[in-house]
Amino acid sequence: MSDGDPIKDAVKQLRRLPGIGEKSATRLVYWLLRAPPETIPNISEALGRLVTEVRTCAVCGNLGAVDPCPICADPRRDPAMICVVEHPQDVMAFERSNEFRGRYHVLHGAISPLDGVGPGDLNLRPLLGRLRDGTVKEVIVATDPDVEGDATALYLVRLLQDVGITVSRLAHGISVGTEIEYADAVSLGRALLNRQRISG
Amino acid sequence: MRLVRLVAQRFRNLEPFDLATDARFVVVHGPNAQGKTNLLEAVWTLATLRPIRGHKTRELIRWGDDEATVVGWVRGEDGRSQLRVDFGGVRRKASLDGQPVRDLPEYFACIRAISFTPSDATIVTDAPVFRRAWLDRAAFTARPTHLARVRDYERTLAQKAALLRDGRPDVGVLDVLDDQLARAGAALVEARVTLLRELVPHVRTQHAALAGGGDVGVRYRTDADGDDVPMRAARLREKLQAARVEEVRRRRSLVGPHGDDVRLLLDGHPVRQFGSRGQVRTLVLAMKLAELVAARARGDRPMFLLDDLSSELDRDRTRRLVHTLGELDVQVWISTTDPDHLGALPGADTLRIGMRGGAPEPVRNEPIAAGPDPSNGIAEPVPGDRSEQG
Ligand SMILES: Nc1ncnc2c1ncn2[C@@H]1O[C@H](COP(=O)(O)OP(=O)(O)O)[C@@H](O)[C@H]1O
Ligand SMILES: [Mg+2]
Ligand SMILES: [Zn+2]
Repeated sequence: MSDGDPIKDAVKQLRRLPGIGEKSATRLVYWLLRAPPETIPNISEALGRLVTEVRTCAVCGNLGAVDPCPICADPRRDPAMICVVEHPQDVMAFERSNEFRGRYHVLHGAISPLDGVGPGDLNLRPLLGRLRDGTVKEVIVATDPDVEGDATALYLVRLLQDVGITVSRLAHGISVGTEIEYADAVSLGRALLNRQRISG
Repeated sequence: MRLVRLVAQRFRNLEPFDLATDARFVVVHGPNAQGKTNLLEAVWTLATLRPIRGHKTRELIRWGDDEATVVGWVRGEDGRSQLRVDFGGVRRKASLDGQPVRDLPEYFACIRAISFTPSDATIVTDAPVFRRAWLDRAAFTARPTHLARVRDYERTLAQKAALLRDGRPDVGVLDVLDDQLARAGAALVEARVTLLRELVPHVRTQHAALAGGGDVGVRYRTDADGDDVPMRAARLREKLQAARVEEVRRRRSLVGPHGDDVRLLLDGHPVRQFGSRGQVRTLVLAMKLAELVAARARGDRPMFLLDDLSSELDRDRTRRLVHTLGELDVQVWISTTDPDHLGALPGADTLRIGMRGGAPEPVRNEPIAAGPDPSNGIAEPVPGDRSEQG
């Protein structure tokens, strides 16, 4: 992995990040080299803790410092409602909107044959497990409003058809092409209120 | 709407320029291979954020550079806007009034263009994909939201193609994709057919005016027939269901609007097989003019771009065309090797641009005010209406 030159190595590592090309990586490395001396150790330590301290919640699949996550562990959250999202960032986005008092389920992706992702690659089995004991009355599918998110939602609807649970799809109050992570809190809140019941 | 000022940098062979273009007719003339088409392409690119059909984004950038920029100031019904597009390799960045564009329809609401170029003959003579592309482009010009419909359908189709390529596709996922395909396909077809209904009467009138005879027929052939979106979707679902085994066996999508065609007939005969070169050109021009007339009927004023006009039409037809365009009252951009070919143009409202070796030189009766240095001024707001200085 290392080819000797620490600057080149650092550029190479940073380039692996999404949205970072050769130019940006180089700029970041030289910026870091001139930043206050504690900057690099602080960043390294924070990144290191991501490896050692972040857990996946065994219930909902969300990422955080504890398992189960604070939302799953919070008795004030409505256990009858589950909001299904693609990514952990989406949970954060919903929490910012303050509209949702139920719990979440994170799929860690969406069905996309182009990327080689099928239903088996998603965090689906634990979701079915959560629906078994009858506590959950409504599932809100809040996958992204794009072709892949839509495919995932349809797939889920079919899967849950026979379970006898209300399934609703987040109304597209957010503009098409916007990922949930980037949708603002107000439009997310509105989308939640306008969710459409599709089965159950 | 009218493009009143145009700036381009590192765009094809064009020298950096800053042109006041507030005229009804903008005529770009000069010998071959000077950059006339390139100038029109700069306008087209600003209007559509894409190169002319068949060209690649990469080719727009001046050889040896890695970025090209086109900026335009548009005066429309709702005031003025500054549009800007930057091309870098495969990436493209659009901005509106200095802000990065997040909502493309908002950008496209400010600028519309319809073009007629020599290579447009392929719309009539070539494979169905060229006619679908024309129709989708026309539907987009009419209502920019059509873009989302095309994208949704194409993306779904690409997902299905990937799934089928696999050989042993997950049936549950295939069901879902077919369902999506039926819905997206039905919406796409309905939009295409609606637009075609709007255009066809104009195609016939324009064709009659240009050709002086001949009856044009236009038929949309689709897997998704029906009277409305739900009916079309139901029909598509049926056909997808029936084709399932075959699609899986051949690992290909066989059903859907990606196989549709627009059949064009002249006096009952398919123009694609039997049309002469002249008949083809006249028909394509009638189709483009129909878009323009329909737009005017809707209250829109797209720009009309005519590339290499002298090679396309004889003198008589050219003059009739110029007359028609004058009456439609839109901004017309024409490139030609022979400006005399055009006949009389409204003198005061015509800008002539001589093109030599990529350097556009405005030729106008009144003096043209020099623009600000394009190397540093292009991100600035409009520096007053320079057209009023003349
Ligand atoms: N990306 C580019 N960089 C530099 N020159 C280019 C580029 N693309 C095309 N050209 C040159 O532009 C010229 C053609 O310009 P064009 O607008 O087609 O001419 P015409 O005046 O005949 O319409 C050719 O000489 C071609 O080599
Ligand atoms: Mg040319
Ligand atoms: Zn949890």
